[in-house]
Amino acid sequence: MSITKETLQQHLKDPAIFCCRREKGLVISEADLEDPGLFDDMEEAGLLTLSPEGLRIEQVLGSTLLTDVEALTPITKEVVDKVNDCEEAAAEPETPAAPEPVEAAQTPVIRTTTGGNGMIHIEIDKASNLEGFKLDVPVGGGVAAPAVVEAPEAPASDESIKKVIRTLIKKHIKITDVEIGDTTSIKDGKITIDGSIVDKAVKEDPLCKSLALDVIYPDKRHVYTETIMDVCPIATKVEGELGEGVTKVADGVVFMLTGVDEDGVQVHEFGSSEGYLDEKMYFGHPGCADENDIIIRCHAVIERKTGMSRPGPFAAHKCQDYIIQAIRNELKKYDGEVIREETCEDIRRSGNPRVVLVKEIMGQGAMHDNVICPTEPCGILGGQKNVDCGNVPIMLTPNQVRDGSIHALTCIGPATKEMTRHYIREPLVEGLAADQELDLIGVVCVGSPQVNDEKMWVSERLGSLLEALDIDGCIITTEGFGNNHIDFIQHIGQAGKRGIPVVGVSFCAYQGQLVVGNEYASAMVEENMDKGGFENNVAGCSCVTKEVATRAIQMLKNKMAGVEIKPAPKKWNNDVINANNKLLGLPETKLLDNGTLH
Amino acid sequence: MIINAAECEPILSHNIERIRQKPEQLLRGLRIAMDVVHATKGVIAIKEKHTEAVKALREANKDPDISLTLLEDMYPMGEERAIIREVLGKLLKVTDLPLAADAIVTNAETACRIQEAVDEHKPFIDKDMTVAGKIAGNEQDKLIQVFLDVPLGTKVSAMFEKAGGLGDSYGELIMGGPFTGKRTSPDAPVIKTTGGLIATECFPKGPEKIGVLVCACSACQERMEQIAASLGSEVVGVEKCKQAKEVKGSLKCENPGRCPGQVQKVMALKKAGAQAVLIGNCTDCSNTVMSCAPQLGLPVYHSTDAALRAVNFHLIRKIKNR
Repeated sequence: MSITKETLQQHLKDPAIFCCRREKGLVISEADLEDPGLFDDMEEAGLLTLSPEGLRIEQVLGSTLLTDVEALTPITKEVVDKVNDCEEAAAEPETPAAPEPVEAAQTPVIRTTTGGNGMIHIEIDKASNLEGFKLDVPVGGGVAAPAVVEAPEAPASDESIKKVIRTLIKKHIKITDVEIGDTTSIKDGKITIDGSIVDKAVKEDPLCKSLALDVIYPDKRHVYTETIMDVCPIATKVEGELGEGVTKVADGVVFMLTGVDEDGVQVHEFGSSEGYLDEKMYFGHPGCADENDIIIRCHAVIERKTGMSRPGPFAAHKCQDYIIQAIRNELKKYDGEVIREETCEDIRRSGNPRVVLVKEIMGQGAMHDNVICPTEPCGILGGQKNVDCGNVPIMLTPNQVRDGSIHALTCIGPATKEMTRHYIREPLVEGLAADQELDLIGVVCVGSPQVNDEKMWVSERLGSLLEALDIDGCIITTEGFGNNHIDFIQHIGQAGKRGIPVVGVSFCAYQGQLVVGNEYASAMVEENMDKGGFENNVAGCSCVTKEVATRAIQMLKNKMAGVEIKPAPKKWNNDVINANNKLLGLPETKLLDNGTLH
Repeated sequence: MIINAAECEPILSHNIERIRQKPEQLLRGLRIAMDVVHATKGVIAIKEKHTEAVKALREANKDPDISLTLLEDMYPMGEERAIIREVLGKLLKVTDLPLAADAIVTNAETACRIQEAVDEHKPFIDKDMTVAGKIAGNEQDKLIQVFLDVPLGTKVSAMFEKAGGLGDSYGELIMGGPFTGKRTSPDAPVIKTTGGLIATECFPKGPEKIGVLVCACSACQERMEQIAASLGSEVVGVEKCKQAKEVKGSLKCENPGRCPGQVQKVMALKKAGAQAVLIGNCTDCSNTVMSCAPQLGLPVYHSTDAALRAVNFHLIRKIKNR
């Protein structure tokens, strides 16, 4: 489609293609040229074949056409009266005469200089899939490597005034063994669960037909499992409300909820994660069990055909919580070894850029729901479901999130969904809260409703909230792909149109390519860790990790500072992600080969 | 003062027929109009291909202030702003009236009726029209017939009777031209804007799902949806040409007859699930659609197909190189 004068300026070095049939005698202008932004789509659809003989836009402007030319044909020197002279230097790297294979990665040329403004200036002249990238990061007392994201003494913090609003102490209690026995107790690092507790727990909800408990040790994970509905830590309040005081967290053990209905249908049918446990969970990711965790498996059978309803999956979570509560009560009393004490602070750093983290959480109904602010960390009782709240944005403090304010009903497509354990140790919350150059105002949880009208409505509410918060930037994450991307992009638009710098974080890759977009979705961070770019049904595989969080925070800083963010190539390419990882001194993002590469 | 004698819609022939028969009437009507509005120049814009009418006008014209501008045979040359662009070399904004180019544009038949009103004191009670399509017998030389001075109020059915009677089967009756005409019924009366009555070919069975590309110079969205329904297709996506701008409730083209590119729109329709596209576009834009839709596996239907088929005309598709 013909382009405007502004678009023209951005594409002077791109191939010149007529958008339509043009006739002899025409003086070529922007009104005759196809938008180079569409070339990838057009090539993919087989509509366009770019030719090495084709001229660039800057070479043909103002030239006269010597013959009739059909739409979508490259303009060559044979059909115009003159070819404008353009700098040869510019032509060299741009001319796609012999495209190099992606594998032939060139050594990045990186220049690092310390400028007078206390910033490290990094300029990459040429790297595979990343050209002309520039990055300014604050200098932290003579640190000369690019990995200075969390520079301890950034100049910006000089002006900021730190004020601690509340403190939360998380005591991680060492657990070394779990056993199903006669009475529920914790002694000498060993949890014993009364085996008959399942009979009482199942009575918590009539839709739950049976419950079974077993213990899976780290070295015995090659066992079959039904679909994973959640990974939930055992944590309990011993002092204060959620987000303050003292919380005990059992270390080295997690609950894993699985479920089917009475007909044996997986609760997450289609997109479920049943199979061998060692192949179906990305151990070590925030939402998952860690490598050495003992897993207490709670398997629920719910009433037939209730898997796709709201009460069915919830019944399983509710009944499991009854069991966890019994252990929480023991944990409160248990004075075992504290392996780690974590101090979490809700801090106001006045004078620093005010930022919020917006977490779009599932709110479509059935198992796509979350319980917000229960009484106990990661619990059910006392909380409200975000679907029942109309999916409106709910503000939590960073400490509340880190104290288990969100119990997730993990849903279909487990690789890209955030489980309960994810929220209690969310890398973005941790990263933003710890960042001394930022002032993390809070964490907004906004549900993703099923219906488009509701998505728009919720998004507008979020927009008003962001405006009222008077923030300088925000990061918006989502879980899943497709349906939730509609409101995800809408949210980005709501921030963008208010002039708020915004970074989007999502799984997209191949299967989750964005179906919608807007001009504000220009700083996006990819979560994918699957080789084929698919939702691979490995629970917790493609979620917010520490690396994703670090990239997102740096991208937000860049955006707020007005540093140009280069547009991503049209197609997902893990090399781009790794180039960014490298810039930030992060380990390479290695993709999981789960047979999805096509 | 510009006379629009483009007779741009395919099939319609009554304007040229009157000019051919009575060129002096048009010239006289134009002169009267020029005097009334104090115009110093008169121009008759007519397609070059109407050689007989052009010759007749040239021979009859003795007025040094009146000249002819010959137009290319392309739809929509008769669009008011396209005429001004061709005659005066000035492209008006969609919101501009011709006065912005110091011009007034009026239709050829209107000028003739002005002559009748002034010289003969005859009120505007008659209308010229073309009756075409599936007329009984389907004889090649009767597919398109011109009737001059038809009394307003005459029934549509009576006009088809005059032309030889409606055929047994037809798709729809159109009042107006193939591009911008509207569906009518046998009981409707002929009115002062009736230029054509066309009994179209029966509609083929369209695909289950169709995408609609709306153009400013052709059928409006409602009309396109009506045609889609007649094809038995569900409309799964509607796109508007980039140049179609809404002015006072209707669409106007920013640069009539000069395509801004349609590939993105066609790809959007495919993405919306269309199995074919229904377009109403002008010659140039239709040509662009034909350069991409078939490659995307989308058959192309044009809103004028049924009318053009009824008179065995070429359909609006790719431009053949001259």
